[in-house]
Amino acid sequence: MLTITVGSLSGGQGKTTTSLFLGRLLSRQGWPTLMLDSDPQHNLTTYLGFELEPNQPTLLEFLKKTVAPEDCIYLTQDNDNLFLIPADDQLDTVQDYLSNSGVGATLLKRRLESISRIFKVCIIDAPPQRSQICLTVIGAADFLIIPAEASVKGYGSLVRTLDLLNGLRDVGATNAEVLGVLPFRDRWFGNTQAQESRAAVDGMRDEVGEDLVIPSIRESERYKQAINKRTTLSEMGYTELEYPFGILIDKIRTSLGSK
Amino acid sequence: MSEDILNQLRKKRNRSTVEPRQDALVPKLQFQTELERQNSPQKIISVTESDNNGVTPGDTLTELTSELERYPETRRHSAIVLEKDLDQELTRFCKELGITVEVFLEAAWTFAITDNVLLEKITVEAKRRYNQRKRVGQIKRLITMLNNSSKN
Repeated sequence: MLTITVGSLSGGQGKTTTSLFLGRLLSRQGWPTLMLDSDPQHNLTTYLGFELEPNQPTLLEFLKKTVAPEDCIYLTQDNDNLFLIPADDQLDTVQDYLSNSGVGATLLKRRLESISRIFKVCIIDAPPQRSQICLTVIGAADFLIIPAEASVKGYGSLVRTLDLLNGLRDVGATNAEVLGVLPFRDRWFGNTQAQESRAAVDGMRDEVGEDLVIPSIRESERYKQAINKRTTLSEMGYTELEYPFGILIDKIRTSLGSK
Repeated sequence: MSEDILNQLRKKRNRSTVEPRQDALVPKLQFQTELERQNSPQKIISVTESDNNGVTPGDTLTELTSELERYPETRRHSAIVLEKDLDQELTRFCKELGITVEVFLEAAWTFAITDNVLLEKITVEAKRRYNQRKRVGQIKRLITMLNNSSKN
């Protein structure tokens, strides 16, 4: 199983949007895909159509190992290859457990080992805070996708995320590599890119190199519409908006081949 | 091997439950007692038993669907789920005043907490609504389970 964490250390950077579209597209390729909602705000869980009862197992119990791992995995309504380990607000309470465990950053990686033969790809939607949950989801990753808004805030989010990744690599808590930086909400007026967007994307290229910056997700209501209608952009007739995810899927396919 | 496990996951009907996760801001004992009563396993077992007593899933499904229709619909209002009609009324009321539902609830709470009689009345009504909401959740879950089992 290839584990990919979608992380960026600010809110509104496109983590859940990227996770959701990637998960849908990967599972539609016929690959058994596990999505993991590690944000206590649990938007991914909601977007995938789940409304959990307080006694249904979630990522909280998966991390604490209080039930069998498979009891925390739910088949989604999307298709037979897309599964979810959901979250709810109470996931926040796992912070103390992770910090007291002494192996917080590597705990999720360990837990995922038990199900790594079942799935081809695991996509983790990371929380925006630099929390214990954030550390453990980066610790579990083979690759990191960093969505970042094409703005000053987004550029800052990218820099902070790279700092955290480098820090964790330095202490041996992760081997994750950056699969791509995905500029999000890139603003264009006709054929002209907004000045702030251009400056931010140029900054991102300087930061990680030209090759790692994926074609932008442009500012468009279509993404939200696709999320709300629980469908893909191509099914709505906006195939061109799906292009950035196509590039990421090609990269994932290459990584799966070499793994 | 992994394909077998995947198929098990696809067909998974029974899954362990956990101690209800609780919001620390809600008084713990009261909430737990309420939840235990609502989630008592006998209720689930009784449906399973009735399945075995010659009642077809189709009959149970029809009964549950008609019971569900008798309850007011809810509507997701940001993070707050409210009854559909009440939601429309409250939203319109707040919109006319130029305030949000959230700040209205906050203000209502600050007054309610200072008036014990009023708070008691609200709590009784809230408990009634809570029980109703739990029943709706159970019915929806059972309908999904029965629908899925009839597919196999």
